[in-house]
Amino acid sequence: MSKGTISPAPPRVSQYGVDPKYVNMRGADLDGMTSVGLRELIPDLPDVIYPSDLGPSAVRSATEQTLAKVDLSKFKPGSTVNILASHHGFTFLRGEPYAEMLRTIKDFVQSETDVKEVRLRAGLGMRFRETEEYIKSHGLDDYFNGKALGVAPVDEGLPIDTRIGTLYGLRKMYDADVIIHAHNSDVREVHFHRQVDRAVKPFGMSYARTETRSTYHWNLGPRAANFVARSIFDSDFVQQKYGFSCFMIMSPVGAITVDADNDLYALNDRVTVGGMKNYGKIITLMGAIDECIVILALRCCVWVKAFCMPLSRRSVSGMWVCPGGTIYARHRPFSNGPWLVSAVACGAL
Amino acid sequence: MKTVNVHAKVNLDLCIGCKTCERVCPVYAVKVTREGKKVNVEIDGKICVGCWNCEQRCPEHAIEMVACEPYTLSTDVSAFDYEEIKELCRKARFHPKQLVCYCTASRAEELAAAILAGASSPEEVVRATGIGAGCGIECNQPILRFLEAAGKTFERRKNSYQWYGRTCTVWEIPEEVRSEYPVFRFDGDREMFEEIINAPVQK
Repeated sequence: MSKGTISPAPPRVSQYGVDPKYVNMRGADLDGMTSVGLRELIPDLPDVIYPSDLGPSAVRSATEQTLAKVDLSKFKPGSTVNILASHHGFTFLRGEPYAEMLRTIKDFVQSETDVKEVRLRAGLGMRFRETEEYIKSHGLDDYFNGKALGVAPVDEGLPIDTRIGTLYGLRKMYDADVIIHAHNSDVREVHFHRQVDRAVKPFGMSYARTETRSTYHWNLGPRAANFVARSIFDSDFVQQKYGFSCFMIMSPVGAITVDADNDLYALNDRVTVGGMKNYGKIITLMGAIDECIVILALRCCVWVKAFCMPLSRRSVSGMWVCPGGTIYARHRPFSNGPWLVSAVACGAL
Repeated sequence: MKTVNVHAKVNLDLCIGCKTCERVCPVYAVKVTREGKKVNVEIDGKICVGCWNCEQRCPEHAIEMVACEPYTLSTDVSAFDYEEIKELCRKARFHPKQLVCYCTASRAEELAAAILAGASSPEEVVRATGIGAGCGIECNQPILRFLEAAGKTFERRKNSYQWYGRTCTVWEIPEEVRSEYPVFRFDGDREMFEEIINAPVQK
C-alpha cells in the first residue's frame, strides 16, 4: 500500500466545471489520505497499452492492427463517412487515447479507400457543449479539417423505422453514406444496461434524439429498455449505412487494447465477457464496503440531481475513481431500495 | 416545479440568423425574422422557461442567460379532485407519486393536474410545471404519454426540433419481438410497471 497519494489529473478547463484557478486543494491533499492501487487489490487485472511509456502511439498501433482485419467494401469511392463518437470516451485518461483512436480510424479509412471525406460526429449527454470542448482541446477540429461536430440530443431529429415503431436519431449523425461506430467498453451504468447490448447502446443514446433517450428511461423498463438501441441499429436505415465498429477496450487500470469488427454483435459478446472479467471483482469489492466518506466537489452531478438527495454516508457505501476521472459509486438512491453501482460523475472534474 | 431565474438574451452583433435558437426552444419563445440582411430575434420573456437550450446550441455563442425576477412554474395538485388525477395517471400508465422529471423533482400527479388545468400541448405543460425545462432529455415521453392519455392532440410546429412524437412503451412491443428476444424480459418489465402503477397511493 502506498504511503502517499497518487496525484490526480489536473482540473480541466470547462464551462461546466470549477475554473482551475479556484481549485486550491484536492481531496488527495487532505491529511492522512492514502492511495490504494487497484493492482494491489486485484493482481490479475490485465496489462494495459495506455497509460504506458509508449503514450498514444500504442493506441495508434493497436487501432491499425485491428482495423487491418475489417472489411472496407462498403466504403465506395467518393462516398462520405461519419465516425460516430461519444463524449464518454473522452472522459477516460484525459481523453487522449480515445482521441488518438479516432484520428487513427480517419487516417486508416483515408489511406485504404477512396472516400471523399471522413468527418467526426460526437454525441453528448446533458452538457450540450461538452463534446465541443473535447474536440477543441484535442485538436480534432483541425485534424478533421473543420468537419468535427458535437451533436446534442435536442438537435434536428430523424425518424427511423424500427421493429418497435418509429424512433428518432440525430440527423447530423447519419448525414453520410457510411457510418463507423467508435466507442469504448467501460461498463459505465451497469445497473441500467446490465451488460445487455452494452456495445450497441449509443445507437439509442449518444446518436439519438431526446425522444429516443426518454423511451429508454421511461417507456420500457430496466431490461426491455436495452432493446431501443438494438432496434435502431438493426433498422434498414442504419444497416444500409453501417460500416464497422471500433472500440477502445477498457479496464479499471486503463486501456487494454482496441478491437474492431464489422459484426457489432460479435464485438458486443467480447465486450460483455471482458466487462464481467475485468470489472466484476472491483464492483463486488465495492459492494462489501459498508461505510465510507465520499469527497465530491462538483458543479454538476447527475445522480445527486436525479434523486434529489445528497450523496451522503447514508446513501453511498463505496466509491472508485477510474483513471481519467470517472467516479463510480455504490449508492442507494432510495432509502431501503437496492444498492446500485454507477458512474456518478465524469468529464468536467 | 421549477423556479426560473434566468432568461435568454441575444447579441445581435454576433447573430447570423440561423434559427437554431428558435428550433431548439421547447416552448416556442424565440422568433427569428429577417428583413434583407438585417436579422431580428425576439425572445418572449413571458414565455421563456430558462432552459438554456438556445444558449447551449447557438453556433455563434450569441446568446447569454441573464438574471430575471424569479418566478415559479408549478401547478397546485390540491386544486383538483385526486380521483381524477389518479385516473389520468393510470391511463398514462404512471403512479401518481412517480417522479417524471428528475430536474424539477416533479411527480406524475403534477403533470396530470397541469393537463386537468387546461394544458393541451407539450409547451403548455412545460410552462405549467417546469417539467421539460431542465435537462431537456429525460421527461420527454412522460409529457407526451399524459397528453395522449387525456385525448389531447397537438400539431408539431414546422421546422421545430422539438416534440417529434410519442414512442413505443413496454405494453406495445410486438409479440414476435417479445418471443424472439427473451433476454430483454419485456414481460417481466411490464409486470413490474403494472405493480408500480397499481400500488396504493400513500399520503
